[in-house]
Amino acid sequence: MQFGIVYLISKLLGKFPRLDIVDISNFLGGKWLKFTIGILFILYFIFTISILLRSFSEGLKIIFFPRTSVPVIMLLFLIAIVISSKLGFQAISRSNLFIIGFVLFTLFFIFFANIQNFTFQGMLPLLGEGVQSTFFAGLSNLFAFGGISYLYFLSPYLKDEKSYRKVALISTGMSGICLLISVATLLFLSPTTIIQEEIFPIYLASRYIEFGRFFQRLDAVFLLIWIISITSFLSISFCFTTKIFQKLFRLQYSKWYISLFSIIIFGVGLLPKDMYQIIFLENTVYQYIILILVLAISLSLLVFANIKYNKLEKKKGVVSIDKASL
Amino acid sequence: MINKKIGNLEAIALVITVMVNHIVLNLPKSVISSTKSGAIMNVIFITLVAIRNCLLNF
Amino acid sequence: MIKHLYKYIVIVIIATLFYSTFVGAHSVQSVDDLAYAVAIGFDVGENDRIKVTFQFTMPNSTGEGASSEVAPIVVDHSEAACIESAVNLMNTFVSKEINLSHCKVIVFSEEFAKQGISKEIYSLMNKVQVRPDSNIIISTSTAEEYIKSVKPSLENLVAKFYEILPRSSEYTGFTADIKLGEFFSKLESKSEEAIAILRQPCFF
Repeated sequence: MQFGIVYLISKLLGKFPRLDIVDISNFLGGKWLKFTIGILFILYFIFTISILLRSFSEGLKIIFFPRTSVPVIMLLFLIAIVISSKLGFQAISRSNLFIIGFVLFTLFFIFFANIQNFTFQGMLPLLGEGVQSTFFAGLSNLFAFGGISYLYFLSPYLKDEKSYRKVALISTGMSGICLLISVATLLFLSPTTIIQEEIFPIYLASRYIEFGRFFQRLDAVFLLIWIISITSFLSISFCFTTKIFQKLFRLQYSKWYISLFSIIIFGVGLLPKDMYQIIFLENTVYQYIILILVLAISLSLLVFANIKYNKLEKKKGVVSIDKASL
Repeated sequence: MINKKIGNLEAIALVITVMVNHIVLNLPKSVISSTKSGAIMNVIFITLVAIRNCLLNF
Repeated sequence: MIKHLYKYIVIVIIATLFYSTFVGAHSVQSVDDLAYAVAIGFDVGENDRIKVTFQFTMPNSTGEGASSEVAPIVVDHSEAACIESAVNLMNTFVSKEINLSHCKVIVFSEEFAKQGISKEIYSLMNKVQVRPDSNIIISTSTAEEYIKSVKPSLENLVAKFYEILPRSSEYTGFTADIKLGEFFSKLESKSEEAIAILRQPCFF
């Protein structure tokens, strides 16, 4: 399903090479739509960064730093994010490419290393609570592919714009494989009633790994890799946020609003009072934001933009979108 | 607008990063909470339908 | 000039923050500052709900290639309503902070097991320090007697003894290697029953 959506997005964006969703909304509805969509996506990225930062900091506090306060841990991540955003988008994406290899290795390693602890009956009954729940109601799990929101902004940054479709399909496919591996790991390891109550279930799965008496307690290594990965991901999201803001208000210098956004993210991240609220925001609220903003609104925007493009093409013959005016 | 471009691999890694970091946190738990033991079938179904759409459209 | 000064001030502030957070000048904990419990036992308490027995060992005795002398073992107990209170009470008596990250064995007396051990299993699984690969043993005697009777003759290190003991299930069918994580999963599972091994206090 996510392949279908991604293919649709790449088809719709095909008429607007080197333009992102903010530029396309300007083409479709003028400045007011551009600002609306831009502000919505800025709020979405701020929400994502804040909640993930807070959630991960809480987990780190529980596991390794019981005597360190959460704001201090969050502050250290934010310092790393601010410094990396000043280094530039290209630097972050290159370092992210280096890190993602390790992270993918950890996910697959946790799966294969835990095979001796698996009970494959965990996947039974195969259809869970029924066809309705698994295939129809389960479509809401499309929120897992929140990476689609980053595809909307990726087009202007690609060296080879013709490979956009290939990039979109490969990345979505690999995301699906990672999700399948991690879901399988948890299902085979513990009953579903336990998984629902866990915090950091993948970390808890890594605690079961042992090879004889020498290789034990490898979870600390995994956590180190995940800390670097989270920092990289948050830096990328932060970069997109500041770039959208820069585009909306046609700003030249970025230093002052990088600090501004980091303070906003820190403040928003401290708003939830406890872990229950964080989990609610991470799962329920985030789910609806992805389904509404990323899938419903943005796809509709692309469809209407394509319709307008086709109409203009019929009238004028050639449609040229002046990027300077966007 | 930044003038520096990124390659295909970097772009792929960028999108995968989003999924992977959500997986590390609480994403598989959310999927399993909604579909219970049918989570594997749910993920496989979505992927299969998407691949089928891809093949038809090409 | 002022820009450079600003940069240096920021770097100094960040370095101080890192130092105070992770080096922890006010609370440095090294391996010698912790008391490692290699075994804990649960009995029915005389004055409270549960009696928790802790078996401590010296930090240098948990390493490989130690001296040929048997590592010193200390066994003590406390009574409380739950394991958290028992650990807190024990911390007031023991000179070092109790750390359960090297706990290899969790012993329940048969009398205690008959009352149900799910509460204790949930508490143990919720503790970050306790590893899910700790072994579960039900003892025919009290857990305190069982732990006190452990005097391995073929091993110098009691922690190594606890680690090797369950592996006898690989070459004999009379025992099983039941771990805490596996026990907890089967306790919660709707299709499996949780089992544990029943042992008498007799070791060499």
